Amino acid sequence: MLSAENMSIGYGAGKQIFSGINFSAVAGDMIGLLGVNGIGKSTLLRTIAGLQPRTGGNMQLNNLDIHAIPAAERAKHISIVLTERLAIDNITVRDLIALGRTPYTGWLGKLNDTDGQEIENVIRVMKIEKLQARLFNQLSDGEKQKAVIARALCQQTPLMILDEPTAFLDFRNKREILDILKSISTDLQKTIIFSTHDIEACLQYCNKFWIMTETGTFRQIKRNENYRAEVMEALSITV
Amino acid sequence: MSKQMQHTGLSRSALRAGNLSMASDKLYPAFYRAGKPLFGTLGLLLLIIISLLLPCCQQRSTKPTTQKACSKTSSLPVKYAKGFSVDYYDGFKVITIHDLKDTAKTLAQYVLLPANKPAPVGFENAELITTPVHKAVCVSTTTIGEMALLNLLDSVAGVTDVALIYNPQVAQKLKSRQIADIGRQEVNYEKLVELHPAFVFTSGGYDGGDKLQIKLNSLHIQSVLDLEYKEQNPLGRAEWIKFIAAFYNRETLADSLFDTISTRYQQLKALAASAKQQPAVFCNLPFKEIWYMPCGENYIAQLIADAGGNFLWKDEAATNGLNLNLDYEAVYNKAAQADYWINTGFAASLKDIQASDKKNALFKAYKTGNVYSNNKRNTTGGGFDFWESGTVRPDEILADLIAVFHPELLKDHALYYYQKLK
Amino acid sequence: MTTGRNTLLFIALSILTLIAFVAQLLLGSVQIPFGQVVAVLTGHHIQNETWSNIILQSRLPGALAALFAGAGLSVSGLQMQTLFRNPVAGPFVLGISSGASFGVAVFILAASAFGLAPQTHIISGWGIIMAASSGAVAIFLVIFVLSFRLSDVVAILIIGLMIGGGINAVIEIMQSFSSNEALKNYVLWSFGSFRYVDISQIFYLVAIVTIGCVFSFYLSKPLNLLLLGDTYASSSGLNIRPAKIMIVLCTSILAGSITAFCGPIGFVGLAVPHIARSLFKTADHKILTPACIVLGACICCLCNVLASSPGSDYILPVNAITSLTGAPVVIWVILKQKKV
Repeated sequence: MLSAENMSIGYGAGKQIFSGINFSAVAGDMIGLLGVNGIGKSTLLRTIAGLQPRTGGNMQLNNLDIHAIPAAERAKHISIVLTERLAIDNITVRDLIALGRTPYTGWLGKLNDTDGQEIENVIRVMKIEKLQARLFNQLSDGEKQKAVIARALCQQTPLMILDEPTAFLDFRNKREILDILKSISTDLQKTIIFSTHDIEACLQYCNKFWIMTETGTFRQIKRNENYRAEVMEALSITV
Repeated sequence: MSKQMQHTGLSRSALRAGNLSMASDKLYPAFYRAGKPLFGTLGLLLLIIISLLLPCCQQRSTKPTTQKACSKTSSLPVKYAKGFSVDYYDGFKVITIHDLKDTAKTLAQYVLLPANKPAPVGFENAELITTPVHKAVCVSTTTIGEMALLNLLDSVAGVTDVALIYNPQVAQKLKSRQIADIGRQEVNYEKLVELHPAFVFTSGGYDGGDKLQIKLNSLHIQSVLDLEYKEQNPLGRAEWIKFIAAFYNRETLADSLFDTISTRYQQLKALAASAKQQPAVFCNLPFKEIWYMPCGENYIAQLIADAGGNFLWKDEAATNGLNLNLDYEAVYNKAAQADYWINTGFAASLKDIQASDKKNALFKAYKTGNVYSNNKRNTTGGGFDFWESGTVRPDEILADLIAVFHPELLKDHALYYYQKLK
Repeated sequence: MTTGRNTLLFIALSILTLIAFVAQLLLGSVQIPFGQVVAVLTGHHIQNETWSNIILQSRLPGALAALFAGAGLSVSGLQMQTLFRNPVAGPFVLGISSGASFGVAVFILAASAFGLAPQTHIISGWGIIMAASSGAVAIFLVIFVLSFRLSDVVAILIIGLMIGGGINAVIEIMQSFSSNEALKNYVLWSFGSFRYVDISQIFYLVAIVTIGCVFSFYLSKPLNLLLLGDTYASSSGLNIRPAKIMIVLCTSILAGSITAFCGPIGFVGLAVPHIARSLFKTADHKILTPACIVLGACICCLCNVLASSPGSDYILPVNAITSLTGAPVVIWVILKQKKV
């Protein structure tokens, strides 16, 4: 259960870039974050993920203030997929996914049976059995994205945050990723928040919409009868 | 054609031209007034032509003299040194430096003659030095050793690397500014030029490689090679005082000094030869991987042999100049049980030797305390008198070594250059 | 899985290292019969005491130095390359080697330039080590403080290089003022040498490198995570700042102490991690760390054997050998990778 009350985000006291953020999310939610370029979507996601502090207001995840707990603890609650490219030579897909088990392994990072089991599960869910032995940097963009999501999934966190996970992917890959994310949120009862520019896809898959409007207000819209129009209106798009 | 001669010629012809115009002044006043510029120009032309012709006249008049001067009247007797020779001609002296490997090959030649004498024919490649020679600059401490023995320190204009010079008189003269300090590793050329030395004694680069030599050439400062260090025979090296002396007309002094030195050397050598056993000797200190060891031909090796020591590498030819590039293992393998260890560089005590490398303590010579270094007479800046005055006193060095290797033969000798390390 | 293959590879490399280690004891500028060497090593007394001393007092410490220095430098290089996400990073990148060189240069060259007592010309073993360590520590502290203020590793890398460059310039100035003797001594130190680590010093070198390598095992997990980049590493639960500080500490201790004892040894820290990655086909530091240890030890032992050029009078600087073997290997590794 993730909630925020009058939260503001930014980079230090003087550099607040968005305020008045109120939202709530539960397990099973697939939430799309929308807004124009530069409005602060990435900043918001990073703040929710705990990568940077909030500049004001409250935020709670399962009754924890994630900005006040150590990174190792936080890693068990939130996992992320970013826009930055991973460039590692010589790492297999399986090894990359295994790195997702870090919060649960000992000081040496050795994997036990539970870890092994979880990795197998994730590979199955992501449908990447054929890729697991291949070198990560030899995969196509779509395959790489699946592997990266698999790593985050392996972290077994109730909340997963993805920053533009379908950018640069072709139509088929986009659909595939969104399908998988949907099934993760529904079947595994996770909360998934992702930002995107593809409004149509968002409208199709998500059950909640967070919009950072150009006027500086934050709107949370649920998938009710009029959601499509509401979303368009919030985005100032005249149909 | 020396500059002095040109000057004399000009003055004579100027007089003549002057007389001409004076004469025309008296005889043809009107013409003169009108023609003064014309006469002036003619006079100038005459001056130029006469001064150009004069040298020819002069040479024509000295031709017979040079032909006579070209035959050698005598040579300085040099017994051991192979690197130089001094020949005497009528009115001038020729000092030649030879290549030690091929004595027929001349490395440099200097003709010493008074200022008003013409250059002799037949020595076109030689460098002319006018006598009397005034002060010289020394860049090597061995040269200073040579000058000091000949009482020529007053003829030293400047020196380099003051910290390396042992001779206390030089230090005094530096203080009283009689001798100038012209730099350390790098020569201060401006100071050097200011000194107007007769020449600079340099140590090498006859094949054009020496930076100092090239710079001196470009500054038109005469350089004179002092190559005593190339002689490996200890007496041959010391005999170079005759070379230095030749520049200052002190050959007689040098002769008698060297006579004393070589006689004593031979006596000591004969004494050492009478010893029944030759103790095993090795030298130098290693630094990390490298241990430089003299080869059999080396100056040090010859001294050891003459002192009745058995230098363990006496039969080895050099691999690097006049040294061998060895390492600790190779030296230890041969010298582990050697009796004497000499020339241990800057080490002032046995502790220093061990501190430099613990393995050095494994040598028998170390364990028995028979380590002798030639650094008894040292400057704080790291200069060794062994290489300064020692160059011209091989007899003293030999005495030291004999006292070390065969103490029973020289009971009363007090070590001069060497000291036993404790 | 490749685990089986990696295990076999590891065993093979360990055997090769053992052979290289023993080769250092067998070969040297003095020829000692194989049987005699074995006898001395197995504790028997041989007649030729000189040979016994050569093997135990000269060759053995040198062999140990090469073994441990190789291991330490390789691990240090591996950590540098991961920390800076840069394949050409090595222990020299942080300016640590320059710092050590600076300390030694001050000790040897400046003393001569100021006309200090000739005793300082004597390169006392501990004197040099202290000087080199001080220099390395000084630079390390600078980098350490900087890493608190700068989180951008590239910036730290550039600063380290600039410091290194500046130090080299100062060393050159000192060289122009010093005597030939001092210059020669400094140059000889800069050639690097395993075989002249003294018996009294070898214990410290072995101890420091062992501690450093054990420490580095503990750092495998943080290093693996850092491969993902700071953000992913942080989100996976790694405390970035303390982790980086510990890595810089570990690598500095290893590189600094080895340079202090053996002089600057080039290329080992740079080339060995690449060879390890290529051979073991993994980026996992749990495997790479021991791989680098064994591979580095092996290569340095072999280079040491070559440097002593058995059978001839010429001594080759170890630094030159490691560079000559390291450079082509790195080129080959990179070409091979790019082809696939």
